[in-house]
Amino acid sequence: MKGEFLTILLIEDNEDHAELVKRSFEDNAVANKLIHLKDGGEAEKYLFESNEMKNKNNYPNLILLDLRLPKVDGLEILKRLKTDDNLKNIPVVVLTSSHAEKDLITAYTNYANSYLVKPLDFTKFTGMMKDLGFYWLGWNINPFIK
Amino acid sequence: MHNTISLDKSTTEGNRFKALFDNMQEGFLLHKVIYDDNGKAIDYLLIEANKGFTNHTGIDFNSIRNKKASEVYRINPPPFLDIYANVAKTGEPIKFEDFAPSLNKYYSISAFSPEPEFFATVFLDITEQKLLEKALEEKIYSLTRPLTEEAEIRFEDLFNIEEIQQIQDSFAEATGVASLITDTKGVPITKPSKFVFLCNEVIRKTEKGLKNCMHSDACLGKLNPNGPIYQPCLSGGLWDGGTSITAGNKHVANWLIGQVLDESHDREKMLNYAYEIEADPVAFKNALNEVPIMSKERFKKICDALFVLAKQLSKMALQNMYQARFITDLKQKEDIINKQVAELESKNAELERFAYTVSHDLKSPLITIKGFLGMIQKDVDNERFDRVKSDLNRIANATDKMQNLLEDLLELSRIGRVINPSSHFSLTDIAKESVELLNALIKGNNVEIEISEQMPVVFADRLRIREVYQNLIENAVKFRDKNKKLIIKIGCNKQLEKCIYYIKDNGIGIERGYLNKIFGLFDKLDPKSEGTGIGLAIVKRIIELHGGKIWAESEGVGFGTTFYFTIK
Repeated sequence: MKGEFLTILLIEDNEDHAELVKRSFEDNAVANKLIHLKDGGEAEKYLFESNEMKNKNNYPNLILLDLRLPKVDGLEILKRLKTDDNLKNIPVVVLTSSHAEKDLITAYTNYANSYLVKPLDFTKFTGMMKDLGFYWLGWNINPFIK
Repeated sequence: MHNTISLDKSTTEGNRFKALFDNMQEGFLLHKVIYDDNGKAIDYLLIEANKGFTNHTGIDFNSIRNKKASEVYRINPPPFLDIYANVAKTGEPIKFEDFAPSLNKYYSISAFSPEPEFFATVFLDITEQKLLEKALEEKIYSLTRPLTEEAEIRFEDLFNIEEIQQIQDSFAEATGVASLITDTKGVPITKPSKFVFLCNEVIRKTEKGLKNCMHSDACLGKLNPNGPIYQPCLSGGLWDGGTSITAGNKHVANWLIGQVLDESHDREKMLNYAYEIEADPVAFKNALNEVPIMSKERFKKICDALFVLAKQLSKMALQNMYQARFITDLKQKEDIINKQVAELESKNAELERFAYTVSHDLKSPLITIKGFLGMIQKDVDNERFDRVKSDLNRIANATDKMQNLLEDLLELSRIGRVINPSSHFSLTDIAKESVELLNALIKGNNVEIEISEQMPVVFADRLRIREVYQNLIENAVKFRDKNKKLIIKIGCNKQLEKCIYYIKDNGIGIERGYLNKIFGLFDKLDPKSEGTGIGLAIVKRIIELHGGKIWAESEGVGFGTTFYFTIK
């Protein structure tokens, strides 16, 4: 780990799943900061309207995005992110329980950086979170995100 | 894609465009969308127009330049706001047709976006084409009614009258007889050919003469399938003939010829007829000299030829009718197939959505259960017990949620399968009944409910409609504004022959952009709210099974919500 201040933005409507993700990251010391947005409307407001996001230094290092969200659908948010000249360089990993091919294809046609299906198995779930954190925040180099 | 067009007048190219723009036959209008603070389109400005606009509408554009569309058209929201806003947003062009009642004209409208937030409309008057289509439809309709029906089939619907007139005129010219086609009541369909002055201007101008002529015409107008009718008219020397035209077993017209003198006519007797009908004898005599003369045999032969011709017309009439029927039949079958295909497609899409939702939503609690079981195991291994209790709670809640989801799914599938027989009942009664069933909930929350006494009697599934009211009332209570006394109003608006039923509350309201999302299966705007998010999906299902529609309107958060629905 680089030892810098690393932020993950988690867009997830299910509180329990958010807690599982959070604990997995904590247990593996993946990120120092996790911002949790609870539905599509909240995510839209934060990403496209908040003062926080006006400053590039505050961009999250990774966005974890659930697809089936109340108010505004996750795919809609993905589309907006990837067509925004400033935000499109933030890696977006779709994290969903949907296996549907349609979601998979739509996510990739809208330039999702990765697509992960939440595993039912606990060990696999925490393992995935660990690998995910290390890959995107450790190994991966992104010139646009500090 | 946004296409850029330049209307800059300072360049030659700009001038050329301007000239093209002004000379095009279509009306052209450029608009700019007006958005509210939340970025929702609420109106549009009229920015620029070409001369074609004024030619089509008679409106001077200078008088409405830079005005809001809602003010110009006096409708708020202005016409097609959603469609146009979408064009301006996505740059996807669109084409549609519209009828403008104020101008009594049909228009074909194309809309495209030259740059974001702007859209241009190009419209063309298609009234003439539409009216032709309508006339054709009416013709097809009248030709395709069952033959046994009492309704008349009009000769004009079976034939092109101009073509028939040509046949009639040349027949009269070639044979030297006067000719006319009338309907079965004697009313002329074609213009008369070669009518003689004697009949038209002398005899028919007298009261008795006209009466006699009409009597003769009536005899000639009888349905006579076996041959032509010919007879001397009451004048004593003029011969008339006629034959009927049919379409199947329907008598549709009569083809009449005549106004010729038999060679052997008695001139004295005819002049006496002038006295008998009190016509001017001098005029009568002069006119008589101009009447063509032919032998009785020749006239009979002409009548026979007419009969052969009319028989052919009758055959054609029947063929035309069968053709129209065939086309309509084909069209009807095509319509049925198209409808069934559309139904199947929508059923399929629904099933797909259903399977998707079920797999996703049922899997979700399983992830929670397995995940927290793992967490507990780990915590117990590490002898960390502080969060075990709350984790167990999460597992318990997830299993409850699964159970609720399964029950709701069963309920939803029951709606499609179990259909109670329809009966007549008053919606006022059923709304009151729902309120009584929810008595505890309503009393407990101090809710005031007003139910209109004017709601009509409908023919529908009584229990299901009660379920609709129950669900919508429960919904209103669930999303009440905690700082206000909840008032629910239930009634209907009558528009033309259709009733639109409403349930209006003063609760927390819904943000406009989310109004369509509330009816989806397991869709919830607030994940923390009670229930699985199936209530409105059930309501929608019931209304759709009744051939109706349901939608919600809200002025936004804090302004209450109104649910509207229709049923067939």
